[in-house]
Amino acid sequence: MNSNEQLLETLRPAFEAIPEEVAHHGTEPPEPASVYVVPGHESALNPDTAIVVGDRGTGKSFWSSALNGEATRMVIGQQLKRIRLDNTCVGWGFSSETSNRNHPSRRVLQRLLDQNFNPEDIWRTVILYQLLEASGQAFFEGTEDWPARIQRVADNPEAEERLFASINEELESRGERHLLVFDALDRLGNDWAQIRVLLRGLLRVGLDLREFRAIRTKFFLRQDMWEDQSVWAFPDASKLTHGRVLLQWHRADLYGLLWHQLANNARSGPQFRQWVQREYQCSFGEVTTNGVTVYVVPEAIRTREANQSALLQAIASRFMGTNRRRGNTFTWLPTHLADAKGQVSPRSFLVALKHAHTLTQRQYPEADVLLHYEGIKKGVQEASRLRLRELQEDYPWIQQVLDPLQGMTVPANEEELHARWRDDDVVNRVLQAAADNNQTLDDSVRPYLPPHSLENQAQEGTLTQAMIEIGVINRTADGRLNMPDLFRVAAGIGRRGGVRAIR
Amino acid sequence: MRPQAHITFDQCLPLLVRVVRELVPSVDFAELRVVRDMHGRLYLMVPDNWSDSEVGALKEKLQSVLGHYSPGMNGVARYQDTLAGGALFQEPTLVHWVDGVNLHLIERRAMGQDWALQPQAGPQFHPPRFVFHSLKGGVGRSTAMMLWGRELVRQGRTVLLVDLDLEAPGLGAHMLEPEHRPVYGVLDWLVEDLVGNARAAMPKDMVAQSTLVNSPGLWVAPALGKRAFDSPENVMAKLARGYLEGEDGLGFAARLRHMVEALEAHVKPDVVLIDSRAGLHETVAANLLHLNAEVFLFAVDVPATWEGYRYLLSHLTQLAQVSGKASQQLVDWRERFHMVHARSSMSEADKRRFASRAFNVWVDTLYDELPPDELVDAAPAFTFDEFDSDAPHWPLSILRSDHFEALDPMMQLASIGESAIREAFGELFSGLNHCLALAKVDIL
Repeated sequence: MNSNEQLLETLRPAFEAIPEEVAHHGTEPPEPASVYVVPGHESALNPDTAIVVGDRGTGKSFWSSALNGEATRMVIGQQLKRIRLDNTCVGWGFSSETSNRNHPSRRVLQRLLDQNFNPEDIWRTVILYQLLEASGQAFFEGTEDWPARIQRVADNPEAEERLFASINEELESRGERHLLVFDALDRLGNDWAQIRVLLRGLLRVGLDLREFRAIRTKFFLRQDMWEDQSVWAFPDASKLTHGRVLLQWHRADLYGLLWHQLANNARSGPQFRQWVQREYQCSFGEVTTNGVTVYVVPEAIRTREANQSALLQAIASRFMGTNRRRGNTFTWLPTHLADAKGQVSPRSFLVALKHAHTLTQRQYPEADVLLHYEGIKKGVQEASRLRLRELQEDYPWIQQVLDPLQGMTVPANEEELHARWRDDDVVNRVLQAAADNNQTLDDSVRPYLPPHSLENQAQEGTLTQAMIEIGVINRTADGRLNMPDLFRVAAGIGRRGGVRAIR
Repeated sequence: MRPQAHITFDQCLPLLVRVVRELVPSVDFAELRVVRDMHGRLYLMVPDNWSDSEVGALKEKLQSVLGHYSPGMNGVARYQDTLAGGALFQEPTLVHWVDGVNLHLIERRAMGQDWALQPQAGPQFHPPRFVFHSLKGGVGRSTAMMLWGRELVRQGRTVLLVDLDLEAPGLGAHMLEPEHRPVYGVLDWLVEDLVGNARAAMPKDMVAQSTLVNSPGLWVAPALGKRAFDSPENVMAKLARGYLEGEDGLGFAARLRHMVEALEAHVKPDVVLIDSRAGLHETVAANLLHLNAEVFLFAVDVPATWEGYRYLLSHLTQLAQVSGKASQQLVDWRERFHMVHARSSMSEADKRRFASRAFNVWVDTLYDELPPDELVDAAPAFTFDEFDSDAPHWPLSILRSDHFEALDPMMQLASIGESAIREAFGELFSGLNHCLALAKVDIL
């Protein structure tokens, strides 16, 4: 075994360790070693940024819980010193959690609305309650549950406002900040009407509190919620939306994440780091919290694509086949994992590589690479199935909408999609599924949310628009609809061509 | 009888297919050949075992249905009844996809048989060739070519630039002082060759070195030489003949190839850059398909461009119908086509818009259909997704820059800084360099 083969051998455990699960769930902070601080995500993590918009799988819940975890927050803070996380206290304003400790759960929220509590009072209470817990004042004394606390706020507006001001002053005098993170906002209610009422109230409170510079709120929003005009129908909403940040993963970020994965694996890490150091004369930074060391990917292979590409060549086939004109692996991989907006979810990227590694080991054991192009192709297919499943969790209607499209070819005229949906009565079936599913719903089940504008405009065009919003299809320059390979293959849809297949 | 509809060119083939299906329901269209004569009239060739009554019925029906596009009662024949006999069946064809069948069409044209010829298969030995084509002038095609050529010479390579834009010649004037022009131009060779007078000695009088670069090796074969200064009245007369088929039966493409080979033998360049005739002309086929070259299609993102490329690539699609499946070529000729986005703002949005427009054309023309049940790349189908940066429709961009508007390189190039050149043409050059590396591998 030569030294290169030996190196490749030592990297195997890192690929095997890539988790298979769909995405980050719940509120548990991630392992510090799994936190790759994406250079372009600095604004999203900045406590001063209120609105963060991200598609499914771009890291909304991941960053929410990483900000909430002590150790993970330090890992982030030490790499992004400018956003001053070291003197920021963080708590949950909303999450998928149902203990009702930090905030009311979905069921409780529903009950609160039934009792005619004002959404703004609800959220002012949630925020104040958390701030007071930290400072120990007695405003909420004698209140056992959320209705009682909210009632107290509703009854004492002046005292409440004074409290916000004094807490802010106190925090500022200590040079500290308190950040409330709101995630999983699609779980605020069982249907869009309820979600909108609560979300609009929440955002208004967020806007009102902007003046308190030590009290920060951060809202992680899904793309379709961001696009929903009626959520933003309140005065001065633009002051809040002005600085909104999109969570995106660029090509360099994805490869950076891969190097992070390899460098931080307990078994592969040391050799990988040495090798990079030898090849690029750059060393990994170290961030240690609670005795755990996280190795920070150096600039040379974090943002510089020429180096990243060279590094990939050492472990993967350089071209996606024997024909060198059919694509360079470095660009091919992200391109084939991209949705219609050009976005790649980091999870599907890693999963594609995990499978590519397994398949290479199984089917091309004699290959001199860890990732053979045939393995990569299969890995991408696996990842695309996973991506569709992932999307389905957020957008349960997607399968109903895709099923009738099976067998068609894209790019296609919009009317062709509409005709297929009409034949299957898809619009009504989606609305019906939403009505049925939300009859009996406990907190652990996600509500079935149809596309947000379908309730007002029950027509096929709304489905098209919703699919465009979430990046499943896009309009080409001549107005036809295209579906990227990522979804096309899994949906059983062909690609048009001027040269016809001989059948 | 009801009055005939006004049948025009575009309706003829579908009508013919319909009539044949109606009268001979068991027909296999792969066994048929349709000959379209110079005027566009259609002759149908059918297998020898078709009965007299079938042939007779077809003759009658086609004559009445095709109207002016029927040659009359001799419009249908069995192969054995023709002068050429079975040889006709072996002739090169275009394949039209008509109403769900592949129809083999033999094109008889005044000139430009080349459009109906498959590119030559098999390995060929010559330096890497690059053809630069555009639908209109003024897109920076010649400028890009000159600058890249200059760049390659600076790297120590010998480069030959050939001006095939005979109707709008430019390279000679742009790169050579009038007194340094060679005696002959490309047009002279083509005319002399017609009468068998293009001698082996001619190439040395067709090229000269440009002074646009300080080091030697930037060779130019202009469209017109010094002789054109002396006898300007003959240029139009030569142009009228330059594209014709030779007396020996060689088409324009073959004649052109011989000329390029002769120039290569004389100059011994490392790279050959060819400035193609602009627009949609039948002779363009020779440049795009028959020089075994990397082809760069320059485009400005305006509707007229995409309309033009749709016509051009749709035509080429008829060649791909066969070659895509049956050919054993090392490299599918379609893979050697590349789009160039001229006068780009270089913004990401601009690039994606261009890519999307180009995709719309390619997906309707040169890309293979990918059936829904086919897995990604299960078969090596030639097709790419809209935003795939490895796709031929994905552009190499040239920054729109005032420096290069109406550029007279002899006068102005020295005053343009290298950084301005790099800024505008850097992306194109690196794409060209990449293709140069690939082309070397493919040829050897």
